Amino acid sequence: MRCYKCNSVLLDMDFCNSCGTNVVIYKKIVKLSNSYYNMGLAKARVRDLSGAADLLQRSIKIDKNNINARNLLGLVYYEMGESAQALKEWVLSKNISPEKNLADDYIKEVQSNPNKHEAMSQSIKKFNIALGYAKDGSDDLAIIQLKKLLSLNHHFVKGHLLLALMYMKKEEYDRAKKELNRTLSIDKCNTLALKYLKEIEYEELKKTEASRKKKKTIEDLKERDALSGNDVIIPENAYKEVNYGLRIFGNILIGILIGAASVYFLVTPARVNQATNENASELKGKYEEISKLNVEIQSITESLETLTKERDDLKAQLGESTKSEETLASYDILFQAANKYMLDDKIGCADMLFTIKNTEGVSASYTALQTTLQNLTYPVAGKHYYNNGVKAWNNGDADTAISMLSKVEVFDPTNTYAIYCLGRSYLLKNNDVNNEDSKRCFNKVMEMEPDSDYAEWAAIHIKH
Amino acid sequence: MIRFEEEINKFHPSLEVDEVENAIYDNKTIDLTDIMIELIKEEEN
Repeated sequence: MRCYKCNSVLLDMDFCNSCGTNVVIYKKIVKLSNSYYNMGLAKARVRDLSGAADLLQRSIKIDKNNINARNLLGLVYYEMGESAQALKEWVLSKNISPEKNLADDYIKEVQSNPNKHEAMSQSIKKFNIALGYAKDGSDDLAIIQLKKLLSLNHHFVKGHLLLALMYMKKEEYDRAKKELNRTLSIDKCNTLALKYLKEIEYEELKKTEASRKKKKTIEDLKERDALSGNDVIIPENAYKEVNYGLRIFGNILIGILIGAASVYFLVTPARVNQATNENASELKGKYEEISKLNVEIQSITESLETLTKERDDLKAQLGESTKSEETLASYDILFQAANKYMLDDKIGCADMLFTIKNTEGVSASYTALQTTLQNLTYPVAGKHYYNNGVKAWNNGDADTAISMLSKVEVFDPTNTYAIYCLGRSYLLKNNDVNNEDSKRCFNKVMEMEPDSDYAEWAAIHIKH
Repeated sequence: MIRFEEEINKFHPSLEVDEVENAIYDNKTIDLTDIMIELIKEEEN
């Protein structure tokens, strides 16, 4: 403590050691100011900011040179969102005591974050504008401004309070409560917030009571006392309160039933009819296919009978004939092939036909049947052996690939890729670029599709 | 029962940052020490 006249340090005596001034009252003033400061500090510690601000202001009013009270008051204002007030207190504090003052650090802290500082100053401006709107009766505009400023500065206590008041005026008590709770989270014992919350509770209680009374009145009306001789009977009013809820539900139910009935009686038969027609036409198609196949089988069976007869005739005629056994064997093979086809084994039929080597001296019927069977079975067999052959080649099984793809060469001679793969399979098996089989395949590929990628790859293999 | 006009009038505009300088210059608070000094002066006179 220093003397208010000569600024020298005061000791435990009732007068100043330097200038002799009586400092009894002055010491009491300073002590009182410090007491208020201590109370304010205690309040600030438990976040009762408005209570702390009030006590600290009193402390300063008693002793304006109480630096600690000013610095703390500045902090409290800053926490409540009043950055300008806070700066004012810190600057004043610094003016009173320029050396070793915490206010210096606080001011530097604020200046080091210009964005936050700018946001806070904008929020104060918007608050003042919003307050103007509120006083003029433009509640909606005030609310808009308040919402904007609170998005910039969540800690602005006055903003929350004013917004809560606006909501209460519009009877939006839930929103008002939210704002008040936010205020209390910043400033725990804010008197205004507590007052408004109590008011809201009161209003809500009034509403609850009013609705309860209304219910009770309705219930009371239902209970009637027994009639006596003096009672006047008033006929019951035919008017009844319509139960709209039940009516709406009933209408919806009826609507659903009508909808379901119309679907059942109108839509479903048409759909069933359509489905039946579709099935019928599909069946018709299938029947036509079956009859076609039956015709084919019939013609093949007839050809087979003819050939069997011819063979028997030939056998009988020739006897010790010099006709080659191979030609006779080829008849047998053809019969077996035909038999397999009739058992729906197309691949088996193709395999049999594949084994026919010599057709010298065979009849025209034989050739016709052979051609017919080839046309019917070779495409199917070609596809089957192609798929399996390529698969085997990809798996590195050269032998299987060669046996399969060789057949493809016969069954599907236009399949360039199959021939290419066959060539690669021969190469894989023999590991010799001069292998004749692979060369033959690659040359064939280059002849068949000279501009294709297969031809290019084939040329590369031949070159290497 | 809250009277909104009364409640709104309790709210005062906040000090803006632009006004801080003037507020500091105009700050001539008189504390108890000043009153005490005035009283002592009057007594001496």
